[in-house]
Order: sequence, then C-alpha cells, then structure tokens
Amino acid sequence: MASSRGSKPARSPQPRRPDLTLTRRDLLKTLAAGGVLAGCGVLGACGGPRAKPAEADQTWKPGPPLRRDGVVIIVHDPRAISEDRRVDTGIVAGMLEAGLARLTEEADVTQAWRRFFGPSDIIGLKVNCLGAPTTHTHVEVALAAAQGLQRAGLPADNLIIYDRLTDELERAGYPVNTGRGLRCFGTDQRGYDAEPTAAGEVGSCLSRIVSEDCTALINLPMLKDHDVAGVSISLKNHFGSINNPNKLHLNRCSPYVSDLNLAPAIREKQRLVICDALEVIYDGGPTYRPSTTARYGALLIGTDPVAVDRVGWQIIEELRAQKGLKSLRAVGREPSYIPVAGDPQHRLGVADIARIQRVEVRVS
Amino acid sequence: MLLTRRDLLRLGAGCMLGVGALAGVARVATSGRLRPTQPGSPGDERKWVRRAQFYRKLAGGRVKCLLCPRECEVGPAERGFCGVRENRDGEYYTLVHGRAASVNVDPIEKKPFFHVLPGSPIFSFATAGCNLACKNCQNWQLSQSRPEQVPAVDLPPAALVEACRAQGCTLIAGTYSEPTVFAEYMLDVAREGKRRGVRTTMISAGYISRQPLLDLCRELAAIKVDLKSMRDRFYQANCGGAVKPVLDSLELIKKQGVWLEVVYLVVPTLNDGEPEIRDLARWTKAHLGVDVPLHFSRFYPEYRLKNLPPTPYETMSRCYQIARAEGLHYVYVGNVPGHPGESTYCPKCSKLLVRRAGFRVSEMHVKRGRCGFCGQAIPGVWS
Repeated sequence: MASSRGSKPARSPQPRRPDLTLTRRDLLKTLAAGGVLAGCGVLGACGGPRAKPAEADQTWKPGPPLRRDGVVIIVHDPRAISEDRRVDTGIVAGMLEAGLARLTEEADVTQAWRRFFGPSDIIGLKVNCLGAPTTHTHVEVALAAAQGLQRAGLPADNLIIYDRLTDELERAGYPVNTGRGLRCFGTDQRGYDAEPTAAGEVGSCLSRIVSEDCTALINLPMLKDHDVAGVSISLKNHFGSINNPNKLHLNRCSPYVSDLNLAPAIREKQRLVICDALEVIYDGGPTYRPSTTARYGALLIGTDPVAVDRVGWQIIEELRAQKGLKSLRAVGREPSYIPVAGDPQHRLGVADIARIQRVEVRVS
Repeated sequence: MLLTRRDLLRLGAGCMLGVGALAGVARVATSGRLRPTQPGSPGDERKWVRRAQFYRKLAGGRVKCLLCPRECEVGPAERGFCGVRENRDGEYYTLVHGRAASVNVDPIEKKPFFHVLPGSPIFSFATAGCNLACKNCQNWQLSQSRPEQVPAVDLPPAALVEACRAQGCTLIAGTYSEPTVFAEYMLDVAREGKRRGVRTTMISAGYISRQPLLDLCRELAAIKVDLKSMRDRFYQANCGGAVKPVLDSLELIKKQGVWLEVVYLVVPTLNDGEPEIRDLARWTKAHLGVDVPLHFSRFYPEYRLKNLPPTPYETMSRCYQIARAEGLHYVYVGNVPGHPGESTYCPKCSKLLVRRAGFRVSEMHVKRGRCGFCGQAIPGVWS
C-alpha cells in the first residue's frame, strides 16, 4: 500500500523563482556545514525561546495580528507537484506569497507576513508527519513559510518546526536541528507540561514547545480523510501538540478536537493556517493510499481554522463525488467536530459553509 | 523499600522525559544491567514490541482489539485508546512487553490486599497506558501517557521475577496504571513466576474482555478490582467507560475461584450517595457473596478533579456502616489513618483479627486461615 517514492521529500529540479534565497537543499547544506544536523542527541539541548536579535528591524511596529474570520484563500498551481510526487520549491513559495497577498491585501509579501507576527515572536510551525515517510506536510511547504518569515525579518533562531516525534520529522525528511538557526524537533525532545490543561472535555498536557517556547503558531496540516474523525486538517493537527491523542478519538473525535482548540495556548497563539493540499487523501486516510490520493496542487490559507477545515472538508467531498464515492455523511464519518468548533460554545471560527468566503487564486 | 511510588511519580511529573525518574528501579533490580531508557529512541523500543494476543484483522488493514470492552477499531499506523497498542501493517502489537515504567517494592496493604499474606512486601510494576481515562486518576502521569513519553527499564518477565526474588519478595503485582493494557506481559510474568515459586496478582479496573480475563485468572493468585461506581453515568462522565463490563468481570473472577477484593473510591458528590452505596453493598452480597472484602477508599483531589475536596471522614464512616448493615463480612476503610475500618474482624466472634495502621500490620490473629479466637474460617490467601 505504501509507496516508497515519498520516502524522501522531492526537491525541485529547477526552481522557478531565482529570488528564493534559500532552497531546502541550501538549508540542508548550511545546517550540515554548521554541524547541527545530527539530530537531537542531548536531552534538554533544544527548546526554549531565543533572545531577540540585535539586528531586528526597529521600524517593524506590530499591531494586533490580522484576523479574517470566514475567509479561505485557495491557491492553485498544478505545476507544484509532479506525477511522480516531486514538489517544486519555487512554485510552492510563489503560491504561498500569492495566497498571503490575497489574504492580507498587501502587495508586499514582507508586509503581509508582518500582519501576523512581531519581530520578537517565537513562532512554532506545527506540521503533520504522522504518516511519514509516505504522507506528511511537504517539507517544501514548511520551509517556504520559514523562509518567508525570515525574509520578513524574523531571525531563523525564532522559528521552530515541530511535531510530536523527532523520528517522524526525520522520516518525513525535515532537517532536524536543535542548535542555532531554524530549529526542527519533536516534543519528545522538549517534553510536555507537568500539569494538564483543561478545555471542555479535554484534559491534556501540552507540548512545551507550544506552552512555553512559542509566542505564536502557524498551523501547517495536510488535507486528508480520516477513518475515525472524517477529515484531519488544522483543528485535528493539534492532536500532535498534546500527550494523549489516543484518549480523544471517541465519538469521531467530537467534541474533543474542538475543545482542544479552546486551550488558551493554542487559541491565542495560533495566527495562521497554511494547509498543504498539494496532495489530498480523499478516502482511506489518514495513511497514504495512492489509489485515493489526488494531486490537487493547492494551498489553503486563512486565519480561521474552522473555515479552513470546513472548506477542506468540502474539497474532500468534491473529490469523493468525482470518484464516485459516497459522502462522508453517507459512510458515517461526517466530521461533526467542525460544526461544533463554530458553535456558540466554542466560537473558534466560521463553520457555516454559506458564510465562508472561498477565494480561488490560480497562479499558473 | 527503596523508592516509593509517590516518589517515583513526583520525579516523573517533574521530568517526564528525564531519565532520573527511574533511578530507583536500577536499585530495586539487582542484575546491575537495568538502566532507564531515554524515551523516544526507536532503537530501544523494538525489543518491547510483541504481536498482541487479543485482536482480529479487519478489511483495509484495520484491526479490532479484543482486549477490553472498548473494542477499538484501529487503522494502520494508529493506536488504540490505551496508547500502547499499535496497528503495524494490519497486525496489532503491544509496545510494552517488558517495558516497565514503574517498579517498586510496596507493602501489600497498599494495593490494597487485606486477605493476602498481610504484612508481606509485594514487587510492583507497571507500564504506561490505560484503557480508561479517569479524571481522578492518581497515577495519571503513567496511566495517561504513551510508552515513549515516560522513562522505562527493560524488564522482561524472567528478569522481573528474578528482581522480585532478589528483593526477598514472593508476590508480584501488576499495578499503578492498568495491567489490562499490558496483558501479554502480565501473563508471561505470572507464568514465569509460577515456575519459580512466586505468586502474581493484578490491580485492575476490571474493564477487560472475557477471554483475556479468563487467561489471566488461570495464572493469577489474586485480583483487586477498582469498581468506580454503580452508575453508568459516572463511568461515562469520569472514566470514559461503562459499569456493566466491570460487574461482569467481578462475577467472572469470583466464579473462576481467584481471590478477589474490591475497592470503591468514594468521590464526594459524584458517587457517594446513600442509594448508590447501598446498591453497591447489595450487589456485592448477591453476586460475589458476603466474604469478598469491600474497601472504601478516601478520595484526594488529583489530576482533573482538583475542584473537589477530600472525602469527609463522616462519609467514609457512613459507607462503612451501610455495607456492614447490608451483611458484608469484610468491609474496610482506606486512606483514613486510625479508622477502625482499617482492621479485620471475625464475622463470628467479632474479635479483632488483623490490626492495621496505614500500611502497617501490628497484630495478626488469623491462624492457618482461621480466627485465632473462635476458629471461624477466614477467607483469603494466608499461606
């Protein structure tokens, strides 16, 4: 069932954008040269906020983070991923810039990034590597975000790509690094809070990356069907930010997914969702199944996680219909936690599809 | 006793990823080769992975776990509710066979077993994981964690029994978290113990399916079951389970002839109503008999129920009196030092047979399983 083609993340054979100053290959070279690519061998060597760098842009006066409830930008470029699952780094970076420009209505991508973050923010980028090496948030998507943030003036030291386990990140091809520069490691290297956070029906210990290290979060899920929850997108991605996701799958994960996102450290820190829909698993997820995975070539971008998830769900239903599959409701897997997330008790975003502005942007 | 469970958990809570939490384990075990492992190392984890014994394959690479009434259907690369069993390529595996995350020598009164060799030390062990999610769990750092989140030592069954004997113990308890989730490990420990003259017991919530429980009953010398409530709504709201399977387990254990003691943690406002306590006593009498010890244990605020106070002394006494009035012969009160309900009395002559203070036994008048005063048979494991 699993394809080995995805065991190592593909790189663009010919980046389209010459101004992309740091490709993944470059980054790997840089990290290797610095001797920091060797994994997290020493407990406690990683994590913790970094000091604000002296060279931070003094003209950067951050205001309240931009919020656009009920708006989801879908940026399409079919060239972003090839038939053999190679991802074009440059095209992905361009898609991200185009999406952010549309979301923020800023012509300058630097200003677009600065609508969400301040110069001293420590930003956690939550990717989803549970299905690595065959399916995960593409490395190119996460690195495009990290590079964009650096170009906007945030030092690499202030960025942490994280997931549950370092091993999963490694299997997905992420450049694990606990030293200087762009950090990348799992919560297994940092630990969980000593006490659980209570949020509705959920009582979970949060990753200390979320609760202690970071001041802001970017949620970078992938778009996939889920055999229990119905779909797994941004809201459920935070099951990888807690110690006990196995306890939260009852009743198709509802209201647990929604309740978890009420946790202040998640709700208040998360500024942006960038959903990797270069490939979409529309049935048989969350593990990779080539026969039910579509090359969709898109990124879903928004500040409203509920709206992003609702649109993601809609896309999965569209793909299922195109392939002659029954709807998730018909097969008893409707992701009921998404409407719950938008209900008056949660107010995490807009769940009513009729009230969501789905903005399609075509780059190619 | 080199390291108490409370010490261990305190250490573990402060350093869930640290290796210091199991410092006492290496001292408990004498082999000299036990070293706590650092969590998250895949190389270390392979040796603890065994094909699960109780599951069925489903279509699409899924499996159905048959270990407990939850019967999780688990997709590829996913785990069951317990967090210690994983579907790998359509087969189900336990990840904790020999992966001891807590090891201590305790007094047997701490389990509590009051009718099993009073005053004996018992070699106690646990892995991570539980198939319930009790909001009042006092061992939640262990029970609600996945195996890779807590330090562990490699303690396969033979080494565990050897460590037990080296500590001068003749009893083993699977305890602290929930032995159901490490049933294969528990079974192998018990079989190895039998071969070497060590008796094995289990401290469980009884939320287990019939076949694995039958297998365990064949190997175990005694089982203590935590009956959390007589009401489904308590189980649903506070544990993520149901009461019926637990009652079924209690009856099955009794029918199998394994020594059984029952503990009921009295949680203020949630399961301490008089009708419920009376239901408990009547059900116990009708289905288990008057000779099964029933322990009422005092609640202390823990984990997600820190908003509740400790159970009042008066409530504990009231529970004790209700159960005695319903005709149960051996009713106990736990976590209330100095309460007369800590001790054992002869149901015939009413003389004090075993005087306890906390976990300490100061008088013992049971002789060869009989009251030392009137000769009444006292059920239990006395030799």
